[in-house]
Amino acid sequence: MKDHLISMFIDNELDLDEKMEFVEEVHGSPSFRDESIALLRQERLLRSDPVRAVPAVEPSPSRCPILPRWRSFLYPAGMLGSAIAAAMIVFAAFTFFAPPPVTDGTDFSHRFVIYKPEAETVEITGSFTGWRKMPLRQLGTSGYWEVTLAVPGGEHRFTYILDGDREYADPTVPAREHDDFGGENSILFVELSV
Amino acid sequence: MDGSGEFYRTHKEKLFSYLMRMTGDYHLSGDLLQESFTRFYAHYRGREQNPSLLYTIAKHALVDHLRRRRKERDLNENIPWNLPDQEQELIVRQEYRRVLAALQQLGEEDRHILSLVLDGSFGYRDIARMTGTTEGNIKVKVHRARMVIKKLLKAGEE
Repeated sequence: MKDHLISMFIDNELDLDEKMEFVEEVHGSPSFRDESIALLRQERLLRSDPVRAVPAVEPSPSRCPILPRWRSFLYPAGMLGSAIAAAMIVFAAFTFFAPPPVTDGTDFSHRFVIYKPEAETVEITGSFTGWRKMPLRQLGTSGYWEVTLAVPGGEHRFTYILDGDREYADPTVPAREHDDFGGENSILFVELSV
Repeated sequence: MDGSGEFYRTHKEKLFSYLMRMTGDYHLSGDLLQESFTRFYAHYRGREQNPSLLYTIAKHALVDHLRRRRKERDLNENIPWNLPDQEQELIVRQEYRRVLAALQQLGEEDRHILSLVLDGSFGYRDIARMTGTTEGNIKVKVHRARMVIKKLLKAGEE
């Protein structure tokens, strides 16, 4: 049986002799050819993405998709443009410092999950909570803690608080910066789903 | 920022797809994705960032999870293996649901090997090294797994 050549062909694992053998088999045996085509079609399905979205936010502090969208407003010529830009900055500042509501299942919601089996309590604090602490709930005895929060699009700083007083930067978010108190904040980037 | 951000971005989605194929569970895959990177960065931050190592860690995280779940299940027989989840129903692509169902019927080792092949990042030689077997063995197992999936998908259509 030479059927395994089909998988090796799909996976680019054939050497030159095996390639010759495969081509000869495809030409000489209709059933081998049909099987090859069927497995190639199946492979297209198997290798497609299982889900519509991966449940984690890409950490990329250098990118901000708001800017291209707003650039024409932020850099218009003349005094009117400056006034509009100033008004927008003031508006953004108020929006930024106002603590957003905790929601569940909205377009802007973000699920924070952390594995800390030894912790008694886990909280999260960040720019999107107005730096108020929000508790995470424990997922059974799995050691995982989670909370879903409303996070506006853009760049945010946050950290977890373990057992009420220990700061802990999210280990899965490599982008970090030192805060003013000797700790570390994780940098989270959320794309606007406009 | 060191190269870990780039490494995370490069492998996050592929590793998640691998975990989905291994578990068929969206939330569990998300949790294992986080745990895999946590373990990886805890032990290998600053060293050479090797995707084989990341996937091996992910496989171990899954094995640990299954062991814990078996123990919990032994303590309480009423816990079902997979809870129905509306969010999962919405987010898993409809055409891929039957693939996930078929993959779950493979043995754990065959599912691991086929999922690594489908990932596209590893050749048979890499996979042989990661699973502690021979290239010849991988060649046989990969094709056999594809044929089992074909049979299962065909049976699902009838």
